[in-house]
Amino acid sequence: MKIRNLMFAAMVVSVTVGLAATLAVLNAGQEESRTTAVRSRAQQASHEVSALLVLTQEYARHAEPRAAEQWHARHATILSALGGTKPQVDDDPALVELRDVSASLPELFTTLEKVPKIDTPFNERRKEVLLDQLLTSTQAMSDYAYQWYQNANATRRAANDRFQVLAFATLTVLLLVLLALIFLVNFRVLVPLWQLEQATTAVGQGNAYMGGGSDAQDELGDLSRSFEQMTRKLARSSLQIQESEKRLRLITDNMPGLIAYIDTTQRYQFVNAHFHAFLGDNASVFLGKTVAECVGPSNYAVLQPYLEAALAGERQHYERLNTSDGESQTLLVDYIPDLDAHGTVLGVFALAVDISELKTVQHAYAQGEARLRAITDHIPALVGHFDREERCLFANATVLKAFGKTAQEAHQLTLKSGIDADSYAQHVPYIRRVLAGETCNFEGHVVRNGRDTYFQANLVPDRNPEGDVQGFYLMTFDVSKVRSAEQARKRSEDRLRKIADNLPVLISYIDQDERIQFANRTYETWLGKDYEAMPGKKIQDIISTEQYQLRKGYLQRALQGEHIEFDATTTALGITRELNTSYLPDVDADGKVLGVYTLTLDVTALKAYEAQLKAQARVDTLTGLPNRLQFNEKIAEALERAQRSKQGLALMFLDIDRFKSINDTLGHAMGDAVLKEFSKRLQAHVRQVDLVARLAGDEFVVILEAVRHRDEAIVVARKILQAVAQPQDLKDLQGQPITATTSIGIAYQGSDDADTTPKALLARADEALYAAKGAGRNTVHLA
Amino acid sequence: MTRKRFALLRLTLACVCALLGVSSAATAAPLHLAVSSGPVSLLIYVAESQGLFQQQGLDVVHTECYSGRACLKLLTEDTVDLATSADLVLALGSFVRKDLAIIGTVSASSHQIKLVARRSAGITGPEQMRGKRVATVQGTSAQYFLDSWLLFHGIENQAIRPLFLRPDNLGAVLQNGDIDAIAIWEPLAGNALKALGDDGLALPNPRIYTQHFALVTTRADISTRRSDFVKLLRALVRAQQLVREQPHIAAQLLMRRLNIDAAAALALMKEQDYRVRLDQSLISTLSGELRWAVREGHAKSDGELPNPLRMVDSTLLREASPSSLDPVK
Repeated sequence: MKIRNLMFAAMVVSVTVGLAATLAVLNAGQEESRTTAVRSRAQQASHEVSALLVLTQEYARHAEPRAAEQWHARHATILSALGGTKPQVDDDPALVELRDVSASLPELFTTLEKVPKIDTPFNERRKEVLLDQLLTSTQAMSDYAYQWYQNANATRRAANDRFQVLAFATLTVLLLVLLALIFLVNFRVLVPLWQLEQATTAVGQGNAYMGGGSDAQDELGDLSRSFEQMTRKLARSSLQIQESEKRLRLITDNMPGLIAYIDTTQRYQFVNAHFHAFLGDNASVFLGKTVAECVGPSNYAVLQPYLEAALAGERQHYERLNTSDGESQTLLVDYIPDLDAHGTVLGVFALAVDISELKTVQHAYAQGEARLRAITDHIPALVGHFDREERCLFANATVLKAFGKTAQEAHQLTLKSGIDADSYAQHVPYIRRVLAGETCNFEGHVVRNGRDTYFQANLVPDRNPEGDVQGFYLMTFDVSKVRSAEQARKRSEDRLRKIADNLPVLISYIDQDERIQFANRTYETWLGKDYEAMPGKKIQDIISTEQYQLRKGYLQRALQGEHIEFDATTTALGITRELNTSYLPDVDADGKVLGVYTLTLDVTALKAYEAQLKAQARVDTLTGLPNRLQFNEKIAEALERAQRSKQGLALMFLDIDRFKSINDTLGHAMGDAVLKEFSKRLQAHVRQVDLVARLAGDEFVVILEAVRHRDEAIVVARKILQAVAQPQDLKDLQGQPITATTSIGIAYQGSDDADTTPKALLARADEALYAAKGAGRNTVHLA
Repeated sequence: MTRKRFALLRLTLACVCALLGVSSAATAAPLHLAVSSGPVSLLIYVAESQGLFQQQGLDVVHTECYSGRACLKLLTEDTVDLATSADLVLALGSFVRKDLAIIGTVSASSHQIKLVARRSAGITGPEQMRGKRVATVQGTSAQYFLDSWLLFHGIENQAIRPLFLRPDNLGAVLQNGDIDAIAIWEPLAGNALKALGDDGLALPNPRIYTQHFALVTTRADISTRRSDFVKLLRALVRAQQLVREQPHIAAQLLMRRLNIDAAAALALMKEQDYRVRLDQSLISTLSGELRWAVREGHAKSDGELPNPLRMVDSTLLREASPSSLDPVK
C-alpha cells in the first residue's frame, strides 16, 4: 500500500476510533446519568408509597376525612411522580405494574369511603375486605416501587460498569492506535529514509550503490528502486561508454569505408584503419595533422571546397575518381557537419566509400536491363511495370507501339491515364489485389475500332527484398482470336447438341467412373429423365437397379475397349420400347479408353416388322412343314404340272379327331406335341416328292402327285390312318399313352378331268373330310 | 414405600457414601413437582422445555393437576416434593398443615380470575347480578374472588344464588343456560367466553384481588432437599429472563400446553406478572384470606389465626436470587 494511502487510512482509522470511543463514552455517561435519575425517581416513589401506606393504615384506624384528603393528595403526587398512567415503551416492568396498581387504588378508596357508616355485619365485612385489599394493593405498590428501585439500581450499576469499561477500552484503543502509528511511521518512513540517505552518501562518495532495492510497494519503495535503477544505469553507462568506444573503433575499422573526423582547423582527430591503409600510413602520423598535409595539394584542391562548405554547416555528397598506382577507383564521399545543440559546427565527419564495384554492377545492371527490354519488346504482349501509385516505371515496345508513345512519355503516365476508362475500370479490382500481394489474372473485353477485343491481363506483385509490395507488373495478351475460336467451338457444340437433342436416338457419354458426362434430350422425350441434370451423376443413380444389372457387364467390357451392342426392352412414360444399344469406346491417341459413347435406337417398329415377317413365313414353325402360303404356291404348281403332264393328282385334307379335347384336357403344350408327332407320322408314310403341309391348327393337307388312280390315294390314306392310330410316347393325365386318330378327305383330279383350281380342289377335299367326320372319324372319304 | 421413607433412605445412603469418601448419587434423585395447569405455570413450562432444570443438574418429574388445590393435595399426601398453588389454597391449607412453606411465587395476576356472565341472562353490569345463579369452585381463590367482587360492589351473598361445581364443568353448565355466571380462573374463563361467543361477557374487575401462584413444599423437605430447591429456583429465575427476552417462544409454548391460539396466549401472558418473587403484599394477601376463611366458615380457628409470615421461607430464594426479595423479609 502506498504511504499516502496508508497514512490516510491510519488517519481515518484514528479519527474513526477516536470518534467512536468518544461517542461510546459519552453515550455510556449519558446512560449512567439517565439510570441515576431513574433510580432517584424510583427511590422517591418508594418513599411516597411508604407514606401512602401509612396514610392508608391511618384511615383504616380512624376513617377521618382529613386522612382521606391527605391520602388522595399523596396518591396524586405518586401518580405524577410515576409519569401519569400511560406506560412507556422502555419502562421497567415493575414500574408498569406500579402504575397499574396505583391507578386502581382511587376506585377502591372511594368505594371504601362510600361504605355506609351504619354498623351492619355486611358493611363491616365489606369495609374489612376493602381495607384489606386497599392495604394489600398499597403494599403491592410498595413492593413494585422497591423492585423498580432495585432494577434501576442494577441498571445504573451496569451503566456505570459499562462506562468504566468503555473509558478504559477507549484509552487502551487510542494508545494502541498511537503505538501502531509510531510503528508505522518508523518502519514505513523513517527506516527507508535512513537507508536511502546511506545510499546517496555512498554514491556521492563515488561508490556506485549496487545494493538491493526495497521490496516495499510504496512511494519510498518506488524511490528506493528508482535510485537503485539509476545507479545501476550510471554504472552500466560508464561501462557502455568504454565498450562503445571499443566497439566504435572496431566497427569503424571493419567498415568498408574511410572514416575520419576533422575539426574546424581541418585537422584529423580520428581516422579508421581503412583510412590508414588508403593513405598508406599509420594512425599516429595523421592525428593532429591538417587535411592538406595528409592528402597532398592536388587532392586537397579537389576536396577543399566541399570541406569548407561542410565546415560552414552544409552536408556535402560527391563522387571522386581517385587514381593511384595506375589503378583508378571511384569514391563516394560524405562530409557531415557535427553540430552542437545550438547549431554550431564542431567538426566534420568524413566518410568515403569505394563504389568502384557498385559502378561495375550498375553497368552490368544497365546491360541486363537492356537485354530484358529487348526480350520484353519482342514479347507479343503488353508489358508494364507500375509503382504503388500506378505510375508507369517501364513499358515494353509493344506498349509504346500500341499506344503511340515514347518511353519518356510513357514514364509520365499512370495506368489510369494510359488506357481507356472502360479497360481501366476492369483492372481496378485486380490492382487492389496485386498491391495486397496476390498474383492474379483476368480476362477483359473492350470495343476497339468497332471490333470486340478480348484480352487477358496478368498482374504480378513487385516486392522489394523485405517482401513489401512496392508496385506490380502487368502483362496483357490479346486473346481475341482464342476467344473467337472458343465461341466457334461453343457454337459448334451447340449445333451438335441441337442435332443430338433432335435425333430419335438416346446419345450419352459415360466416363471411366460410370458417370454420365453427356445426355441428349431424347432421354427426356423417351424416358422422362431430366437430361440436363444427368451430367455428373452415376449411371446406376439414373436407371433402375434391374436395368443397371443388365447393362453393367456390357458397360465394363466397353470401358475396357470392346464395342458392345445389345437389345433390351424398357417401359417408360407408359410406352414399351425395344431398344438396341451400342457402346462405343472413346479411345485416345495412346489407346487409353476415356469413356464410352452410347447410342440407343428404338427398334420397336423393326421388331414388330420382324414379327410380321415371321407371321408371313412359308414354313410352319411348330412342325417345320410348309404352311398355308407355301401350300397355296405348291398346289397351284402341282395342278399346273398335273395338267401339263396329264397325270392324276390327289389332295388329302386331314385333321386329328377330337383334337380340341386334347388341348382342353391336356393343355396346349401337349396339343403341340401331338401335332408334332402327327406331322412326323404323316411325313413318314408319304413319298419324298409328296408335299405335307399344315394349314392351321390340326388341319393338314397332303399333295400326292402322279397318282394314276384314286385307289392309290386311298391306300396311302389307309396307311396313314393306321400309322396315326398307333399309341404315342406321350402320356395322358392317367399316365396312359395318348392315342390319336385322324379323318381324311380326299379330292382326286384325274388326268382327264376338267381343269380345276387349287381353291376348288381344296374345297372338295374339305367336303370329303367333313363326310369322313360324319362317317364316324378315323376313316377316309373320297370326294 | 412412601416418598418420605424413600427420602430418608436416600439421606442415609448419602451419609454412608460421604463417610466412605464416595461421591453421592443422591443429588441425581428426581424432584417430583405437582404443577397446576394454566398460564400461571408458564415459568415451569419454559424451564422444563428449555432444559433449565437439567442445566442445574436436576431431574424434575412433574405431575399436571387441574387446580392448585389438587396439587396441594398431592403434596400433603407426600406424593410430590413441591406443588404450585394459589395463595388462597395455601391459606386454607395452613389451617391443617402447619409445616407448609412457600419458597417463592412464580406468577401474580389481578386478572387470573374472571367473572363471566351470559348476556342472555340479562347481565350487563354488576347490578344485574342480583338474583342470578352464579357458580364457582368452592374453597378456591375463585370463590374468594367472587366474594370480594360482590362486597366491592355492595352486593350481599344472599342476593345471588351460588352454586359450587367442579372447575371443568363450569363452562359447559354456563353455556347450556343452567347458570347465569361463573367465577373461574384462566384458561377456563377464556374458554367459557370463547364458547359463549357474542353471548359472553367478562364483568369489570376493579383489581379487587391479586392472585399469587406460589411454589410450596414442607419444612421437612426443605431440610432434606434444600440445595435442589435452590437450584430449582435458579432455573425458574432463568426462565423468568427467557420469558422477558423471548416472549414469542414462551407464547408458542403456552399455545401448545393449553391448546389455545396465539392471540389467546399473548393475552394471557399480558395479564400475568411472571417473576419469581416473595413480596410483602403476599403476606397482606394471605392475612386477608385467613380472616376470610374463618369468617366464611371454610376453616375453624381456635382463636388464633395461622401466622402468614411462618408460611414463607425466604432463605432459599435469598440464596438463589437475593434481588427477588422484598427488603422487609
